[in-house]
Amino acid sequence: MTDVAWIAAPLAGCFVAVGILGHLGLHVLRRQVIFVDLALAQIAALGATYAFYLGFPPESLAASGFSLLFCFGGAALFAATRAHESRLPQEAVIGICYVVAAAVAVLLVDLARDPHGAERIRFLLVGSIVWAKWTEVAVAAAVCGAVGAFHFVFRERFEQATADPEALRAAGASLLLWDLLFYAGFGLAITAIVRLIGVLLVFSYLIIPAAAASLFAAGPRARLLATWSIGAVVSVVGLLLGYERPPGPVIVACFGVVLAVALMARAVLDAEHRGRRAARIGGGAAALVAAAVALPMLSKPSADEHHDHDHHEHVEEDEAAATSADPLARQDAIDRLTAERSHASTAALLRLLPRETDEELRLRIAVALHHRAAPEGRAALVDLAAEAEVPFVRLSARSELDPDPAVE
Amino acid sequence: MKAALIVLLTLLPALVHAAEVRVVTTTTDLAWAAREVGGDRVSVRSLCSPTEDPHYVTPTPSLVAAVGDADLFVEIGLGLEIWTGRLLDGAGNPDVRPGGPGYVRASDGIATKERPSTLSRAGGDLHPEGNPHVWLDPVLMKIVATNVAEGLARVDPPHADAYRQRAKALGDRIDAALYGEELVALLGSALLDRLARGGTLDAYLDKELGGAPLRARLGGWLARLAPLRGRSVVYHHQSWVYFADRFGLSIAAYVESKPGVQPSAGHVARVVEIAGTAKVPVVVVSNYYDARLARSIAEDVGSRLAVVPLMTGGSEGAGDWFALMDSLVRAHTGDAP
Repeated sequence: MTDVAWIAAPLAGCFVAVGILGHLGLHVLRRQVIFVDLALAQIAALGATYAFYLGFPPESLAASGFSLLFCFGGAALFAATRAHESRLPQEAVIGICYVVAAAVAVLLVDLARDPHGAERIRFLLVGSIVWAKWTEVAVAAAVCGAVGAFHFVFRERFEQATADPEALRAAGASLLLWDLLFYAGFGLAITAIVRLIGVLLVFSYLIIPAAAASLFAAGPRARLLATWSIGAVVSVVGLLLGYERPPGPVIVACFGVVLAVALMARAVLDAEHRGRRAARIGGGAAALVAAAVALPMLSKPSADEHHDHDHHEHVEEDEAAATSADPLARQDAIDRLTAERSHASTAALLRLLPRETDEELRLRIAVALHHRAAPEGRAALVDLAAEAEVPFVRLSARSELDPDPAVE
Repeated sequence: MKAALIVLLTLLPALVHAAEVRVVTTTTDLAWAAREVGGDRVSVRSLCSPTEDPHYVTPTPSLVAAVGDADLFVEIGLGLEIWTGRLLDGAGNPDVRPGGPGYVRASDGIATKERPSTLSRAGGDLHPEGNPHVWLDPVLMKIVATNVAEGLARVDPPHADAYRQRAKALGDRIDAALYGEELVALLGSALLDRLARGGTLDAYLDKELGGAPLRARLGGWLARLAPLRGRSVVYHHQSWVYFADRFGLSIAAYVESKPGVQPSAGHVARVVEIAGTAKVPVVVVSNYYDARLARSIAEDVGSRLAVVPLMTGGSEGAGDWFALMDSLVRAHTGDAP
């Protein structure tokens, strides 16, 4: 599998998101319900959690059903509260729904018997663009395509419901109904997309391209085209840059840069003395970038150089280590001494032999000395062959003294 | 007066019973060790559930209360349970704070692996004192049991010898399960311990005895995993370094590029390539992580996916620590239970 193939499915997922969320984002911005996607996604999660609490596995159809049902409930609530916006801002209702849904979900998981379910639900509901699979992309595309088609067919009504409720009423249509349809379709699309690309990216795709496009494009068609173009270009750039980094956050960061540049450009275009404003903004941005680059360099502690120890092992050091209380340290030291064939090491082994208490380590010393024709080694082997408690030490000492019993 | 005496006499067994040592552990593996070592003199509660990531636990008032009442508090340490500092602060029980007689750091005396040479959060979840997943190595679990026994001996001195004996007996059972009884009888626990800790056991098993290598006497988990020795395995998170080293497996790659940080597409592509080249027999992911990415890697490579419990009680077949290790060994070999 080539690298490009890995990018293909995530990119397709991003394009689905760009298509539906770009359009919905333009509505959301004008309706001033910026965080409605987070609230609806959380309410859908609450539905799945409730199903889990009732005993349905998180992957089941029932869980998806509850998820949708809750989502539509949230849509109805948001549609109904719009009429009372003068008393309670819509944004407050949305925020409250978000925190209450999140809190109740935590409590439900706590009440459910399997705490492991919390993780499973979270993973099921919140995807990540890295492991977008073609089947998931196809499902999301189908759902979002249906919502998009519905919006296209009734584009006039949705436009009126968002921007001009009076015209909608004048045409004899119900604002409540079209708000309900808007939020229900919105909830459907959000639930499908969050599974694919995660909460962070959904919010970014919904708001940032639409916001950047609104700064420049005037008519509804131009705005939608600009939104889609920005979203598509940033997706490609973000995924390519994000090959060695988590791509989701890279895309979000790219969106941030695009919006910052768009805001600066807008400010320059709006100014009377464009040259002066451009110089001021350019200088400010350059100073910020310079500071961001310079600060970490200034504060970075000088890396500790790791000096490799010289591996000049001395017999004296090994002999000292061979009297350590830790048998493993003694084993390593004794192994080094037995590997080094020198008079000094033989003398050290001779000194160590009477002090060593571990039978198997005595065996190692004794074998080495025996091979160097030291009589102390043979004597120790005879002792071990007769008296060692560890059977293997006893047997090894015997076979060391008498390598091939069959010859006898 | 008589009535009072009767009440007192009926309550007496309950009072005596209440005098048992209350042990609170962070993980279920430690709870299991405390029960094995403490026997019926202790009551044990684990703060983490076995399917919860022990890095992230939200302390609740009931956890704080449990620590407040505890005679002995046991944690792995090594930065695994980053939430216990706050918990111990809030519990108002100085005896079980680090340095107190009722505090046990179960990883004391363990030579940890993967100590980072430079410290930076950029590396994901960070363990400056080395990798904390020590309970997946039977040899290290014996050290854990010894540490628990010493803690119990401190808070309940009259029964100190009993705790130490039980820890020793538990160590013998672990040895038998790891090496097989024949090898333990031949070499003895002390020698096996030293060889295993030093990583020289496998070479030692080439020594001959009566014309056959010692290896022929090997039993237990080591023998069951011997066919996989030297093979590469893909793991999800850096939980497996002790297990892999103990059984001579090499870690081909981690699904996560850095512990706790979401992998990039480039990293995933490299894992697939490495795993394909190394022909890994199995991709192993713990059941508290998302298995989707690991599954798709296993599918791309054509190897088995094993979703396993990482802690005692983490699945139905892992009720105690021996069963947990059994299920991990099985997950690697692919044998049916």
